[in-house]
Amino acid sequence: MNEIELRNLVKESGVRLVKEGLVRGTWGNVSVRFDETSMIVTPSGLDYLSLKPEDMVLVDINTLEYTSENKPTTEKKIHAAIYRERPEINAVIHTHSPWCSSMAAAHTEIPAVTDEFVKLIGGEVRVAPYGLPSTSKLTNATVSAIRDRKACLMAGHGVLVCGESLEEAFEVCKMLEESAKNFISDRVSTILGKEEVGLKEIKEAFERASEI
Amino acid sequence: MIEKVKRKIIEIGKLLGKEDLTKKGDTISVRVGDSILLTDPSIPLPELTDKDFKRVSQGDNMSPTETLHMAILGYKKEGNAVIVNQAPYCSIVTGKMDKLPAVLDDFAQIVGYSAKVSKSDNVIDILTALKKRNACLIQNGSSLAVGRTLEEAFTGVMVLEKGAKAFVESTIIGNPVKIGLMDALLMNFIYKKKYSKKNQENLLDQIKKTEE
Repeated sequence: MNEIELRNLVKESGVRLVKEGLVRGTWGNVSVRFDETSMIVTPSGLDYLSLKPEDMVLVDINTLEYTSENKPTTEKKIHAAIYRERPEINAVIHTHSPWCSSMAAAHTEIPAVTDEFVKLIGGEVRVAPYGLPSTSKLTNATVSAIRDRKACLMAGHGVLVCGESLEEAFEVCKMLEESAKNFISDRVSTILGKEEVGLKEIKEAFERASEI
Repeated sequence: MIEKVKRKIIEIGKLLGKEDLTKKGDTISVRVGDSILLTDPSIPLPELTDKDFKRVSQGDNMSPTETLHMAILGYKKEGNAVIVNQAPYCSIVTGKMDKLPAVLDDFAQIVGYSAKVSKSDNVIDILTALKKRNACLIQNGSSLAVGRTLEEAFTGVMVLEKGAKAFVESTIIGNPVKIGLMDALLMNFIYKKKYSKKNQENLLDQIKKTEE
C-alpha cells in the first residue's frame, strides 16, 4: 500500500474502533508500519470520527521525529519500540476498552482459555507494571509484557495489541474484550451462584465482594 | 450566543443518552455572564429542545436544583458548566462507598486521586465533596462533573463512569489497585495546565466573557 492508502486505513480503523465500542472520544490510538523506518499513527487528542487521512502523522520509528503540524499520539514511543523489536508486526492498536480496562485496573492477567485464543494471541495476556503515560518506564514494561504475544494489559491504563495486519490486530482486540467480559462474568456467576449476569448481578457481586 | 449554548447543551444531552449515562431528572447548566442557563429537570436530557431552558440570576427565587447549580458555579470560579446525571456504575458505587478511588490513570488525570461521595443532595454536602475536585458522586445515585467548558464536564462524566466500572469490576475480581497519590497529583496538574491553553479558544469560554 502507498502512503495515502495507509493513511486512509488508519483513519477507517479509528472509526471502526469507536463503532465497535472499543474506544471512546479521543482515547486510544492506532498505527501501521509504513516502511522499515517509519510508521503512520493517529494524532494526539483528536476525535476519531472527525479525523481526515491527512491528519495522520508519519513518524520515524528510530528518532520519533515527524514533520506534520499535528502531534502524533503521546504513546508513539510504545508503537515505535514494538516496530523496532518485531519486524513481523505491521499494526499496533491501543484501546481503553471497557472490560479490558477493568482487568487492567485489577492488574490481573487474561488467561488463555481456548485454543483459538492461544493461536491468535500466543498465550495468557500479561500485565505490564504501572508506569506514568509517555514515560520510558511504561514503554519498556509494555514492550516486555507483549513479547511473544499479540497483546498485553497496561496496569491501571488499558490494553495494547499488535498484529501482522490491522485486521489481525482488530481480531485480537475483539477477542480480548470478549475474554475479559467472560472472565468477569464468570467471577460474578461464581460469587452469586447464578448463570445470568447483568448490571443487577454485577451490583450484587460488588456488594458481596466489598464486604469480604 | 445563548442559542449556540442551548444547541451545545442539546447535543451533549443526546450524547449522554446515547452512552446510557442519564435518567429523568438530570440537569445541565452553563455560566452565561452573571447568570446561568439551566435545563428543565422534568425533560430527559436526550429530549431537550430550545424551549426547555431557564436563565437564572443571583437574587431570583430559585428551586433546589437551580440553587445547587448556582452554588456550584459560584464556588467553582474556574468552572463554566455543570452536569448532574445518573450513570449505572456510579450509582452502584454511591450506595456502598464514601469515595471512588482512581484505579485508572485517565480518572486520576481528569478527576483526581478520588471522587468523594456526598452524603446527601444538600448543597453544603455537595460543595464539601467538591472541595479540591471537579467531580463527585451523590449518595442518591447521581454523579456530578464541573468543567471549564461543557465538553470538559462531559469528559468528566464519561471518565467517572469508566472509573466506576473499573473499580466495581476489579473489586469483584478481587484486586482494585489504586493509582498512587503522587502519580495522580502529577497527572491532574499536567492535565489542568495543558488543557487550560486549549480552552482559551473554546466557544463556551468566550461566552463566559460575553454579556448579552
